[in-house]
Amino acid sequence: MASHLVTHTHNRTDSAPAHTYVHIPRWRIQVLLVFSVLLFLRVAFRLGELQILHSEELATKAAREINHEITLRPGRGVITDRHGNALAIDVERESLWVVPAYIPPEKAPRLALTLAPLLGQDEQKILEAMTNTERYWINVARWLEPAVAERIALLGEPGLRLIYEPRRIYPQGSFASQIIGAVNFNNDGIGGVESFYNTALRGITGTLTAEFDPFRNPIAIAPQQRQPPRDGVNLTLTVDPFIQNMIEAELKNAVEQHHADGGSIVVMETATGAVRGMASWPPFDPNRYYDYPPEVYSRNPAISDLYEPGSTFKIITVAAALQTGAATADTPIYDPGVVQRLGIQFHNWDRAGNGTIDPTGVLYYSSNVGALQLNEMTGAERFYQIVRDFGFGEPTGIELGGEERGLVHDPSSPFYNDALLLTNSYGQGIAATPLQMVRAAAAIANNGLLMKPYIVEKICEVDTCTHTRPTPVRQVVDPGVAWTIRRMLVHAANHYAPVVWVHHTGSWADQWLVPGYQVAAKTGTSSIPIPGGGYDPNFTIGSVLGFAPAEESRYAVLVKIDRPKDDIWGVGTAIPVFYNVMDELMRYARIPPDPALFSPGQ
Amino acid sequence: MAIRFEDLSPIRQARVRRRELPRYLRLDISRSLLIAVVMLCLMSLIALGQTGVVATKGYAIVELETRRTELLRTRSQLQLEYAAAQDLKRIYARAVELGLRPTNSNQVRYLVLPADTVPMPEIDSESEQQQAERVIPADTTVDGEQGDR
Repeated sequence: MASHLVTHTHNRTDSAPAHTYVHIPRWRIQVLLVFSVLLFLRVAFRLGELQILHSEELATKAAREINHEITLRPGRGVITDRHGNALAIDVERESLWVVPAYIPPEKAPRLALTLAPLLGQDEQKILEAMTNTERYWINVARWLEPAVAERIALLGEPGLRLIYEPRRIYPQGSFASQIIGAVNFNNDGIGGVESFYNTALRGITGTLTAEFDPFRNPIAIAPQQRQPPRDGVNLTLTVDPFIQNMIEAELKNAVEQHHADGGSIVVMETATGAVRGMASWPPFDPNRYYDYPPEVYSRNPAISDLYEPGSTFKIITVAAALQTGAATADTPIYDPGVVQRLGIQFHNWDRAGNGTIDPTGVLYYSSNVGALQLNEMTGAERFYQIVRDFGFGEPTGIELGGEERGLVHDPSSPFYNDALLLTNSYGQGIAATPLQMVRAAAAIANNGLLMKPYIVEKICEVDTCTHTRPTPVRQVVDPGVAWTIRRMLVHAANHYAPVVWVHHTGSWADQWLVPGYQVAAKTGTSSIPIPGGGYDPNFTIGSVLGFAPAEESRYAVLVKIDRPKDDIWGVGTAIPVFYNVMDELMRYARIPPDPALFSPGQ
Repeated sequence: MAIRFEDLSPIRQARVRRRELPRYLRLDISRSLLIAVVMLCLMSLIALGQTGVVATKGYAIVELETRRTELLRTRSQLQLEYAAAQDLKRIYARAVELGLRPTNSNQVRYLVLPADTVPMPEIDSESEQQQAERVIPADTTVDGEQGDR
């Protein structure tokens, strides 16, 4: 290179610096310039190609690579009892996925053998999942217990992935299961308040649109669009844990003792309509609802099962007669035990006559003949008006899914006939739900004011809570009529008391059913209609409907035992349960017993 | 460029160089370009610094959110355990284990006290309040020591 340079050296004194001039041929500079221009043009062309020609395609590819919209799942609301104990709660649990591509085939059998006892699954099934290379990943088990997930994580296998998933858990198992309901795998309620309030409990899904790094974390410096999720509402039920637990235990004992097919107990606060307890048999565990038949987990027998109320309905018959003025408390009614009407024979349960009785006697002796005569006095129009006023034939409006309205065939119905008016007087040919029955009894206890039953006490969304206010529906009967019926029912209750107390008092005479308290109650033995007409000749439904204390009442209770095998009469099967429930309720409500209300020997 | 070949003392040479320095720094339009480049570099540096800070904070946020998620999981797990512990069947079984027995109506005694002599328990409904003003459930007795009713 030096040889191409022309060097001019100026001779100067030795101390002067030497100045050297380098001459570069012009053509070389021009070549360099042309090369640079070409390079620049190439870059510009490529840029144009990328930014203009393929802009949209590449932008889409890039966006697909890093831009994602992920769904932000809201938390499902918590359901609690009235004391704040959680009955349904969302908890994140790890689910196990296998990625067959990351599991060496020779290692798979051993891994499957290790996982089988941990997951409680068949080893072969796990092995099939591990060797299924047609799919990238396969779910093997959902919602593992934390201890199990921890043990799987300790295996350190790259082909086993644990991913958190929310799970609905019912920490108290089958407690109040028919009220709460359950949630299916799609996070939808399938019964109880879970179903009725499904939309509100689910909340509103949010979204996050952003650029994500390879670990699926949003890149903070990139623009993000976040629509935050709104968690579902929290529900506080009116259910009292003590009462619910107590009636569930009583129902279980009764069903087992009488080998019954099922049953229900409902406890309602008479003044407000708040349901403090609602138990039915058989129960189910909502954590494993899929292990039960659909008719068990998707129905609440206390609101979904219709039954002919039998003699408990005589309360309504007497109320109709008194309210309409068709009869008074002193109206004499002759009860020969058997009467002939419309060419049909109607009779008492034992076909025995009770002579001349009054409406009190109709309830006291549970006289069918007396009741049908009361209905004849009242007349169909007025009777069915009162029946409707008590809320029969329409849903109560309680916040539970699957409520039935009942069957009332009044004169406007194509199914009505004159015999129905007579059979309806003692609760046959008419169908109601247990909740409708207990609400009607509560209206008598509440001076004739019918309340709307409710099961949700409070709905909370973030910090705002809405309290349910007791809702009066209508005044069904006058307070005076209600008072009269209460007195009649106290007599009737005392009439059944020996069933409970005879072993203590040694007497079959009337005595206080729950010593220290005036309890109003009426028993019923319901015939069960069978397909094709007629009634089941072998089995019945035994029930007791009542409330206590008779004045300033606190709780209305219905006890219903379905198809007991050892005793077909409601007095024998349901009264002991009713007594136990009322006895516990009075103490729980801190109502002092009246020393004057004790019979000898009690 | 004129070159003077004068013998100058080192001090004078330095002075001459100093006097000629502005001439070398006079860049005319290039100077504006240079300033623009320097400004651009500075702005890039600032932007880069800010991006770095934002990215660092972004990772901190991710870490905090991860921690928050873990804490929420722990919280819900604790809520679950607490709720399970409230199960009355479990409490009953534990009470029986401890040798306690359920009371029956014969074992409960009631003392009627003036409302202002004892603190009232917290009660929800109005009717419960009225009842509580009239009666306080007294302690219970064990079997065989039934109180008068």
